[in-house]
Amino acid sequence: MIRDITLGQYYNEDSVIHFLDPRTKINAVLVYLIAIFLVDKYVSYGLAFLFLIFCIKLSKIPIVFITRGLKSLIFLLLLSVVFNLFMTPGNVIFKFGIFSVTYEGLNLTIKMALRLVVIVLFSSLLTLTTTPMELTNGIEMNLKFLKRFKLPISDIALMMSIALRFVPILIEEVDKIMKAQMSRGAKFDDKNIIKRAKSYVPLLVPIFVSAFRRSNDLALAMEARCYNDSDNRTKLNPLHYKKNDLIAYIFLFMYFIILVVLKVAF
Amino acid sequence: MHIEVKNINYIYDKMSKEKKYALRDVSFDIFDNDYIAIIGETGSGKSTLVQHLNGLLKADSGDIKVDGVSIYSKNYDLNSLRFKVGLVFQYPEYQFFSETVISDVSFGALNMGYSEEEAKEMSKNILRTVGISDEYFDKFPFMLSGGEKRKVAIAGVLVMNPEVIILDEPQAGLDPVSKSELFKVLYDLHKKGKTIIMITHNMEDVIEYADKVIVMKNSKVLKVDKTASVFNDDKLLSEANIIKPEQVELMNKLNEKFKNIDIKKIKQKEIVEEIVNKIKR
Ligand SMILES: Nc1ncnc2c1ncn2[C@@H]1O[C@H](COP(=O)(O)OP(=O)(O)O)[C@@H](O)[C@H]1O
Ligand SMILES: [Mg+2]
Repeated sequence: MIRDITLGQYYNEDSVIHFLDPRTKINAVLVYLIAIFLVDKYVSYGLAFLFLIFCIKLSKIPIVFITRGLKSLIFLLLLSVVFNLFMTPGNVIFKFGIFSVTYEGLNLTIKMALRLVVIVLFSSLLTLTTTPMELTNGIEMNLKFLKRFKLPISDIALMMSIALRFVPILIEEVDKIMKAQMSRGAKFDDKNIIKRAKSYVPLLVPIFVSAFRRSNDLALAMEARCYNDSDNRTKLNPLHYKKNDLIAYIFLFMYFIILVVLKVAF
Repeated sequence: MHIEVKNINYIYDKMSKEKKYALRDVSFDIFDNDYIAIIGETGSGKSTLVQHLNGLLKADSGDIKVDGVSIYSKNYDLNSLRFKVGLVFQYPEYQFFSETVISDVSFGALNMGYSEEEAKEMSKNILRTVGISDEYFDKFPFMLSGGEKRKVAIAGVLVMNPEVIILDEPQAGLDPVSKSELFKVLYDLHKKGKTIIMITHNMEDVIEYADKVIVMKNSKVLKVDKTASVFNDDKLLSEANIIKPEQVELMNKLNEKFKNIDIKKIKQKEIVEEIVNKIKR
């Protein structure tokens, strides 16, 4: 039932990419994002695509898991295709009715679609190879400089990690409550939409009550252990860059430079 | 009602690389008017097992038959099985969702198809049976005390008038008075012909109430036997990591010293009778 939901979407594997520092991976996604907007030639697209495939191969994740992320994007992709294809002025290739497809439009459409696809694939690689906890850690470290501007980065990171921690706990709770109500004859698969919506009331109330109870307990437990948000908190598993991270940064840098050169030189 | 559990196996995480059984080749029978206790360490599979008995979990292999019919057969009505085999989860008071005690208890009866009126009447009756008096009926369930909440929650299952009542650690977190009241209610139901299956870690309760015991360890059923036999089986107890209850110890010691003591008599009342008889003789 509800347990079948895969969490976040971390894919457990022992690969070079999995063992990279989360900061490296987050930065790589940022660089990749920026770089893709520098790209305007098909050669450069080819390179971006190659880089993506290279990383996917290194991560050992089956390709189906990665392309799964595209499903939720189909609507956006179609929208962008329609708009770009029919709304761009230029040399008309062919026409039906009031719609006309231009050479420029076709070009733009293909490039936009490619951009969207590679960006989504590359960033799903980040979430597939990084546990939620690593991810929050990485984000916190990356945003540390914002502390100078009095932004409560540690608090935000703490909130993120608590929220992430709570997801599996809540899923388990929902599972238990669902089973308990089913034991009292509740049906959650009624064909009638109204009946089905109604059948969720006996779930929602206990779920909320339980979420409040648990967060209350957690807050108490944290206070009992003297939690405070001073700046000098240390980490259980501090992040350390390793040799592979350096190599990754070099690859990334080279990739970026080549793209810039391709843009400027030709 | 006769429930046959035949060689069932169950794995929670079927996708994971190494298969970890939560139930492994489990078989036993439940007969009419049994009072069965399921004991075993935490994580031995007790809760998983009882969720199979009303079809919440489906065994990966093996079969469960209720009155001769497999509950895994096509078109078997699991929903009506759940009305006959009532399962009370651990901490059942966490499932409250209504504004009043009476409407929360009515939920099961309404799901069975009874009218609003009938369900209310049934709920009132069952609430009185478990010892909740009329002035509580329209209260907000979350406002009750721990023991009252537990009774109301259990009433929420009993209202369906199940033939078999399964309770997963019903005494957990209850004060001694509420606990003994609850066990008295269950015992009365048993006297009236209900089958009771109870998961518990409290051996005193097992001895006082259960006729049969299912001993579990590491996803397997080690033994299904009469209560007194289980507690006199030292090898079994140590294998299952169960400490021998004091009353069993007492009877054994008495037998060593005076001979001709019936060590199968381990309930409080039986022990007293046995000792009194011995003195008289
Ligand atoms: N919902 C679940 N998902 C995955 N594993 C579970 C789940 N529930 C229980 N388990 C595992 O199955 C085993 C048996 O658990 P359980 O039946 O709850 O034992 P008990 O009730 O005897 O303490 C344990 O190893 C437990 O970790
Ligand atoms: Mg349990």
